[in-house]
Amino acid sequence: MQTEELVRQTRPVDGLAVSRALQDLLPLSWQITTERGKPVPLSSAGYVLHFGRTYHFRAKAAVEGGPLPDLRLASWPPFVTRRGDTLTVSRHGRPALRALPFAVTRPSGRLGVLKAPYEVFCGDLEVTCTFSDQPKGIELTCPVVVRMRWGLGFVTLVLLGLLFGTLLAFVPRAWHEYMAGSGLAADPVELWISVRDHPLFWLWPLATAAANTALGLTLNVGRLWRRSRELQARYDSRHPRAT
Amino acid sequence: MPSSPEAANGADQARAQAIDLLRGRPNPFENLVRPQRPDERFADLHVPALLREPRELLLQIIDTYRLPRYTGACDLPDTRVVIVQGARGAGKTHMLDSLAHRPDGKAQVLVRPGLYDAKVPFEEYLLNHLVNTLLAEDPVQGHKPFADLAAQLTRRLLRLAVRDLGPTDRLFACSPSRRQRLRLLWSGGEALSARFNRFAADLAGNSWGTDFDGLSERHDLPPEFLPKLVEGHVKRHEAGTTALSAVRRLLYEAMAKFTLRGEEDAVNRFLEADYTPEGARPFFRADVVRQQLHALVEACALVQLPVVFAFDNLEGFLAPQNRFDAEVARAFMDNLAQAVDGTRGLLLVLFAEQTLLREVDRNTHQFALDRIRQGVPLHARGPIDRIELKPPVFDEVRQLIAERVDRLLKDFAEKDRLPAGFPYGKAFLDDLAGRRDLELRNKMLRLRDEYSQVIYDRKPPPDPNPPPPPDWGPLLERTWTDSLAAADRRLQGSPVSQLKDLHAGLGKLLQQAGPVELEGWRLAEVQPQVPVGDHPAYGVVTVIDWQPVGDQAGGEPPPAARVGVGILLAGGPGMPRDLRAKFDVFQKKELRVNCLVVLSSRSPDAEDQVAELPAGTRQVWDEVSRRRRAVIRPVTQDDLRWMLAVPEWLDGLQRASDQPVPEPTLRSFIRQRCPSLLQAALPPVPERTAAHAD
Repeated sequence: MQTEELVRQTRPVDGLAVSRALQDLLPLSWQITTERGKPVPLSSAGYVLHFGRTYHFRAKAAVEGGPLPDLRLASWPPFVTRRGDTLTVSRHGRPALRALPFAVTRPSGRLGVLKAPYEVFCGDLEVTCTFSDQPKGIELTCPVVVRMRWGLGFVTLVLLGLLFGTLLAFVPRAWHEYMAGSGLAADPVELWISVRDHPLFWLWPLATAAANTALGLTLNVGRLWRRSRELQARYDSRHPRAT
Repeated sequence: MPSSPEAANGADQARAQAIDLLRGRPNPFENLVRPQRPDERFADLHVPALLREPRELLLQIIDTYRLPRYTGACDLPDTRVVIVQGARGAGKTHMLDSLAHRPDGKAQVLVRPGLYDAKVPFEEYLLNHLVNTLLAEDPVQGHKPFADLAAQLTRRLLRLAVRDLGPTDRLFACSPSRRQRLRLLWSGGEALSARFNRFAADLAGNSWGTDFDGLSERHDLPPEFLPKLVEGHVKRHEAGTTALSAVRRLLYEAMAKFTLRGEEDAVNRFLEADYTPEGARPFFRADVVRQQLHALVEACALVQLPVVFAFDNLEGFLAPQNRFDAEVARAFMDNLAQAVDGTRGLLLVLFAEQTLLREVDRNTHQFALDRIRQGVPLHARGPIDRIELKPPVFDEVRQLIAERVDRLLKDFAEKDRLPAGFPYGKAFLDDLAGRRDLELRNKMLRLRDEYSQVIYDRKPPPDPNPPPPPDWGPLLERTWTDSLAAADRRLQGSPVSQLKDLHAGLGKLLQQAGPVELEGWRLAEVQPQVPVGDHPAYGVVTVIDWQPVGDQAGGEPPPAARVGVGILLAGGPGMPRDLRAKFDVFQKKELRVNCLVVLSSRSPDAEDQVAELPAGTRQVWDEVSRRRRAVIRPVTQDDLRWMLAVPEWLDGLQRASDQPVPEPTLRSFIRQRCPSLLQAALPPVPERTAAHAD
């Protein structure tokens, strides 16, 4: 029978090492910024990101003037993709922080653009941060939320609502004319003019625009609220009420 | 020297004026002669030139235990013993005091154990004295060392806890209102998050000291938030189930509560805690003690505090009543050797007389001597295990004279015209210079007497031969009052941390009071501190053997009784645990204890002590006392003070007098002062106990 070499487990962390509660294991500060280094907005559901853009996860040393950490994406949501290698950002000619670039991309699918204003994507970006003087890295959990910009989203929702309302006003009338065999059915321009001249025509587009905006907003807020509650529950579990 | 008759005349005039001035001032050489009492005016009396070399060497040794970086137990220097030896009066105690008042102002924990009981496991003994030193007011700094230690570690824990907060955690940590929460769904959290960065930066700097309330107010953080933050951080990062994890967790939480909420009893709760994780078997007592000691030494190392145990009163430990006890000496040295092997980060300094040391060395096992002589290695000097205090050379004596007299002549304008060595004459100084073997104290005595003669024109009284028998009464009384005051201060702090000292005191008191006959019993033997059970804080009793005496009315004399005496001091949830720990005395079969006396200070005036117990504690009492012979007796605060005062009193007497106080004098003083404690230690009378033996 063939023998095999014993695979030994790695040596456990020294039981008499200083308590992890007292160790400088974390970077002095860490955050998500744009490519240019501008901090991204922070909401209670996480850092607010937008599709199609590249961001940096930036971390400083654990102590002032100490070694910069090595950063590695440990786990990430499906809408995040890694972009290139870790960068070292210098200030005044000295390495100041480490940056891990990543991009936010929309999951491919039909009607993606149409769905965009209704959708909010949430997830956790987990980055392993390892300092050269520490045997083991530490996981930094960074909640992120991806949504359309509010302004653009609002305009899109209104436009979609208007379009849908217009179609809602136009299509039944065209169907009716077609079934009646009237000449208007054959000429869409004439048909449009006759529909537009109806005194209640604008009611439909306006109503659907308002309803669509409200719907989009409600879906967004609901999703963000749920995510925010999840994160709060996570915080509460880590920080029990002081006794 | 004056070079002209005018100058000589002026110098004589200045001398006469200076002597005239000094006549109205106290003798500056009086104080160091006073035998070994802690002096509040140390800084005024200390002359740095004296014993400079050995003192600096010892400080250098202490500083090797001050760590610039600490990552774990492996960074702690090995525990080592250094012996400071010198003849009687060589300045050992003064040197120890000068360590406490070190000129560079660097901090250190100077533990000065006053008692030694060979029956107590040595690590437990070290832990107990370290805790008491940390919790007692430092006579030099004027506050508890634990307060500084706790504040600094709490600040570090807070800083790390803030950094550990994730981006959204920082928003929830501020407990936002519903409206704010709705707004935060969009964005706007950057400002709140930046507030924590500023808070962490302030915690990293020293500008705010320990004003955590001011700091939380400045950053608009609710005050109750800080302890919660530390607690969460500690629970998350020190989540292990080992004894060390449990001890650290509770220690750091106690420090945070002590610092942030001002909860003085948080430390008591740490000491009295049951470290057993839920559903697991209890930790072994020795393991808990070892980890408690390690956690405290580690906490000190993290703030660059060397832990120094200074055994100043070695004569009191090993030669009580001036009789050398070889057994105790051997046990003490063996324990020191075991501490060298089994602990880290402690410096054990023994201050001892040469004659006693020779005696100790003769009676110590070789394995212990080998460990004790390892020494602390110093740069370019090799290991140092002994420091000898030699008699001061004449140059040092001259500086001593100059400094002491200069302080009295601070406002005297003609000071510069006084001759060197003023007010002493050349002949006296030459004679003193020739006596090289004269110890510091004897030189001081000669300086004092000569000063009295020169300045006050008073001759020292001739040596009576033989000396009259001393009047012990005032000395006993004065030392007793001082010791009671010190005991009172100790009791005001944390009574539970004094539990072992209370037992040591009770044992010492009974030993000194014996042989005594009371209510048909003769006190035969006392074991002051006997560890029982697994609880390191509560598990200690005093074991007393009583023999029946005289004619018994009923004919048959009762059998001899071995009584365990426990002191119930815990309050609140710790009380049932405390009581149960006392009952553990019956589990230790080899002790063969027949009955237990529990002394309780809860309701000293109550008739029925059992009825006064809280429900949980009474349940424990009912459960065990049904099967075992036990009784609860009240003790007053005065009783506790007496117990605590007795060892210090005996120690003080030994220091204050060159000859031992006769035992009958001590015995009658104790019997007269503490009759209630003698009564309290008697075996319970079966008819009057709350429960009967099975």
